[in-house]
Amino acid sequence: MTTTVGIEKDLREALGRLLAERCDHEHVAALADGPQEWDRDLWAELAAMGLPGLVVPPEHGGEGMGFALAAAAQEELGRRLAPVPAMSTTAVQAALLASGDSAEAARWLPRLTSGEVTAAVAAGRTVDGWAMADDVRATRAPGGWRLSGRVPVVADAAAAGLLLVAAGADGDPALFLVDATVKGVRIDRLDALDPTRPLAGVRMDGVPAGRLAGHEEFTEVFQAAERAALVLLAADAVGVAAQAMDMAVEYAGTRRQFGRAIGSFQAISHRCADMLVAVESSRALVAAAAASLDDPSEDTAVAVDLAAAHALETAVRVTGGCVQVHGGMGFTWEHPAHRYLRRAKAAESLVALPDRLRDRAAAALVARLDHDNEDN
Amino acid sequence: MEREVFDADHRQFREAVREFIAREITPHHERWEKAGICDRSVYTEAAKQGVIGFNVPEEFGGGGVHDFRFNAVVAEELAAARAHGPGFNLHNNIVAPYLLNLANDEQKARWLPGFASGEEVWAIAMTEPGTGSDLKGIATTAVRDGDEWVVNGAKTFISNGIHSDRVIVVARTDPGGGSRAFSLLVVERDMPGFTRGRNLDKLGLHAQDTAELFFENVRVPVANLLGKEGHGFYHLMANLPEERMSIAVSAVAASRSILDETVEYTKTRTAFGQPIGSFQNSRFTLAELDTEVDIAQVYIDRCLVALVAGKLSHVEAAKAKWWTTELQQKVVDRCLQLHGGYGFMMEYPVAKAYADARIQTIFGGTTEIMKEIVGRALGV
Repeated sequence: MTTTVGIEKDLREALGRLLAERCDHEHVAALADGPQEWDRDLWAELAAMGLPGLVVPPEHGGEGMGFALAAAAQEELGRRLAPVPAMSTTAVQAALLASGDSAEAARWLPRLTSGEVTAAVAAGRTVDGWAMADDVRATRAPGGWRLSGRVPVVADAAAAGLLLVAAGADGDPALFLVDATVKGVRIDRLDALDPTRPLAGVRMDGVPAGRLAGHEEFTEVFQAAERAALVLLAADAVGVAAQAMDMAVEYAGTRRQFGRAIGSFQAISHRCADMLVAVESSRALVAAAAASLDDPSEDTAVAVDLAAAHALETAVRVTGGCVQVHGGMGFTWEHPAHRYLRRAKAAESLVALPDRLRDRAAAALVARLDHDNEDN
Repeated sequence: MEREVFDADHRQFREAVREFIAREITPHHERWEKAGICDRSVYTEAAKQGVIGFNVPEEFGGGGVHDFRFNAVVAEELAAARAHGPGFNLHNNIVAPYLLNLANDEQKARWLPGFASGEEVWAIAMTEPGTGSDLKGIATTAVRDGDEWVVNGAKTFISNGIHSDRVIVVARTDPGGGSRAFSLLVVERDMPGFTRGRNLDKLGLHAQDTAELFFENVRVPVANLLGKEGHGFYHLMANLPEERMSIAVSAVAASRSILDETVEYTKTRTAFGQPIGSFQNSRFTLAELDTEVDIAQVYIDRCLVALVAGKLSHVEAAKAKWWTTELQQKVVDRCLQLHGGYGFMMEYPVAKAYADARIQTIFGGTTEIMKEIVGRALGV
């Protein structure tokens, strides 16, 4: 236990130092408002630290440290609004690991782990979570499959060298891997709320694809990807909220009105106290959900959904509060408060909305209750 | 904010009601709370002063006034004084419309004089141990046998359950029948087979008698059928706007009353060297509540105008009912918090207001049922 805690502390500190130096507000602002879609150099430095391989076992070149540590790292990335595709890449890694397809795993995991390639999930989006992409057709071809069609919104697609595509094959759902660099794949950047986690439309025109999961494995493998994405998105949200809170508290201690620091007014101090309670509880829920991914049980799905619901909502509330505490200053483009609010708000609807996550968790709990009653 | 819904007659009536409550109710209320029931004599006294029975035609001994604003004045003054013991609202706002709208001439002559004079206390019995919001689940039956209905079943949570001399009972008169299965029958005190359970122990409203009623082969003459056979459900529906407005009006008046008292309390109680009301947290809380109660009052007053004009829809009444009673929960909860430890002591009005408020979002249709009504009207 002590070692895990020690490793997490070391990792957070090392990441914190790197990001403070390489990913400060000016840097994020320049990148977000400029033509570049993501921070390739920062990703290379993170890869040198082993970050892209945290959840990948050593036999595939990773660190094998699990989601507990990956979530801690993602929180640090969230704190600095790091424009890197860690969440999406990890989701695809989780799918590769869950599929048990050793050939595809051997082909892709080492390159994803080294940071050479990043990945993105091209799925249909519903308010309840990821689904099959309706407009993509998979057809059999000599030596594999070919995909054609369009996925309207894909996070981190611009950076991606690998796409995990959820599409119908012969009327059944399936998951495919597509090399995003081949001819016939077109990535069109979308103008989105949060430039630090860019969105794009993906078009495929008869591109070759490997089938990672067929009808029978589809649900399990797709769920592994979605849960990984939700946990990292939630961990990111904890970092976003924590940093927004720190900015608000610092401002409240220095800004003076009516002859005293505004933090001495209850309207401000109580709001900041509420932020702290929300951030701490989010962090604890996310840690529990990440641990549950590393050591799955019947509670895993519920733990993931509830942690994500709470953390994603908290980030929106806290970043909104940060704008409010900063008053007119928080409303300016120069101040970073809006970037935090936008990262939080975009994350909230990226995979599934918080109320739907709670709905899903409630349905799972009630179903279990019914099941228990039948047993008795 | 000045209220525009009342004119001089209503204001004069309010003075009289307030004076009556201060003289005839408030001095006895604590004793009634301990006893779990009020004195019956308060009904006859109230009738003499025109606090009840004013909406019964003069030929039957009433005041002949048909204007719900007078009902609202009584409801508001009772709520402001936290005088929940006497079931005047039940009498004026709920039972009266049934009798005035549904009773035939013979029944009016038989029932209204006692009702108007306060000598006879009435109740209405819908809820059963197994049937709350879903009235179609009512299991009390009435089977026709010659000139009588034979009633069997049990009712619970019946306000005025102990005092009542006559009870309007919702019973299933057609074993199949869907929404046309129900009728209203007036069961009287001395009818054999009609018994009462204990006066129920409740969280709040301690001075109000609330009881279970049991019917075992009670023979009710057909002359006591109120309204049309098989139309019980529709009769219940027709009176819903008045019933719900009665609760909503009380909710706003009770909220205003306890809020005003709390503002006074926070001006006099000091902590950390200053009145607690001057802390931002207290001040903002009070400002929020004051704003919301004002807004609720304006909506309620508009509803009152519509009700008097016969234009209030059951959807609007449902909105008024759930929103004002939920606001009341917030008001009593926040006001209690502002009282600190004293708020937890029953000798402080806010503690009683807190306990008494809790039923408001439940009886007369729960908040959830009200939202169903509003939601369905939206076509979703």
